[in-house]
Amino acid sequence: MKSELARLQTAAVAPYRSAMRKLGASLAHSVKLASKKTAVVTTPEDADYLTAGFLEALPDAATSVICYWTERSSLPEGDIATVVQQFVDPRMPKQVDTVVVLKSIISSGCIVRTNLEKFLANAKPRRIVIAAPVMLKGADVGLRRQFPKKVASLFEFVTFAVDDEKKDNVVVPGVGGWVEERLGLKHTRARFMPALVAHLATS
Amino acid sequence: MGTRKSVALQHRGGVANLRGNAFEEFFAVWRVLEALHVAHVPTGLACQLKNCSVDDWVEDAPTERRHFQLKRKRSTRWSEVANEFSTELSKRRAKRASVTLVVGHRATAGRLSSSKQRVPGSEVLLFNRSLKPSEHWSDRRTGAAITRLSIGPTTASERELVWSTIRTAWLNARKPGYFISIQRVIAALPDRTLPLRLPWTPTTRWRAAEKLLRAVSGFSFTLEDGAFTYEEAGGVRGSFSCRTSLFKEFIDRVLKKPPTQLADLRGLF
Repeated sequence: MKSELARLQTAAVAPYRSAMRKLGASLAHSVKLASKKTAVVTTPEDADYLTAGFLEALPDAATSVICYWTERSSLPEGDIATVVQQFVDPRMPKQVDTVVVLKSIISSGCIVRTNLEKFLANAKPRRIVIAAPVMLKGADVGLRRQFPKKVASLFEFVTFAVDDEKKDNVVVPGVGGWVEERLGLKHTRARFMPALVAHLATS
Repeated sequence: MGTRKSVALQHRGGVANLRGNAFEEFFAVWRVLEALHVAHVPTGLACQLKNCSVDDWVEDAPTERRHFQLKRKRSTRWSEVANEFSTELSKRRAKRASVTLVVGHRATAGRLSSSKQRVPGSEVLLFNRSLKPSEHWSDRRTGAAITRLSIGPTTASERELVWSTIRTAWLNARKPGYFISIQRVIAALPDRTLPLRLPWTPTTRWRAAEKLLRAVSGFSFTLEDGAFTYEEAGGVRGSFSCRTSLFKEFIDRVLKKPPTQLADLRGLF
């Protein structure tokens, strides 16, 4: 994991994508999913790399995928994300036991918060895993604070590195800068369709 | 002391006024939010209106002007506002005027409503909602309206965003002493963060695009209250305001390269 995280700092687009995939697979091994009724909540930029790697490493191929497209706003009260488009796997069971919120990096936690809020509006999982290769120090505490105690008590954080420094709103060393940029998705439209979602939507 | 000087001092306020500011601001944002529901009716909104003794909040409609005085403390008595209320009600105006005392506690509202000292013609309004935006949306009236504004139940983040954008817009747009229209507050709201549904008149370009979109199999959509909500057969759904540049771009793209199947549409968002 450490070598993959180190590679993120300097890698070009293709090796960066590959490293994210491997990190996704490593997260899957760390999370240790037991239930078959599992849902993975992802973002469009992470779907084809981190999430794809995560799903490939799971023994059960029936895991449902939920993807939320968000727009981020910086307000005096803090960062807030709103969902503008969503994909909910039609195969998702009514009762989900475990939900895994996947994100390449958790800094302010606003996207994780919004995605989880959106998901929890229609589901009551028994286990909530928030997984990211890198997190900013204190992000877990901040996220717990923003949910009712009953929900926050279900949180499990899985990460490989905790950074405590931010420069120009980017965690350093983090994942080597802005993920969209490093993944080569910087010029893509706001609502671009990841291949993973397009495949699930048409299959 | 002349009335004008007295009113000017009142506007300047003291320590107690500062304490009440949060309550007043919260009430102002609440009224702006409520006014958005009837955004097609031009409504003037003002605080600290010139030469007006009941100045905390004033709403100007074509036939009526409503004045609100806010008192958050439990021990509020009619004697504190009686003179100002009587002065305001006695002023001759072309419009009908009403004066409302807004209080923050249920017991205070009950006591003042049934009090013999109540100023004739005045009203009492209870405004005891939580000052935390994420909590107070459980209010049946606005909670329901806000649910209607999005592609699904609104999250606490979304509600906070609506709240914060309106609050910022109001603070930026208002000028104490002058009426501003609700449309000015709306105009100040950033388009890209708008989950709000506001009146929108369909254009000829939209009507042309609508026919093309209806022909795409597996794609359904509704256009209600200025919000375009779509759903694809595979499970993808979303929404955006018709007032946004995103919607205009979408129409342009549809007309430029008419979609014939679902896959063609995915490149248009």
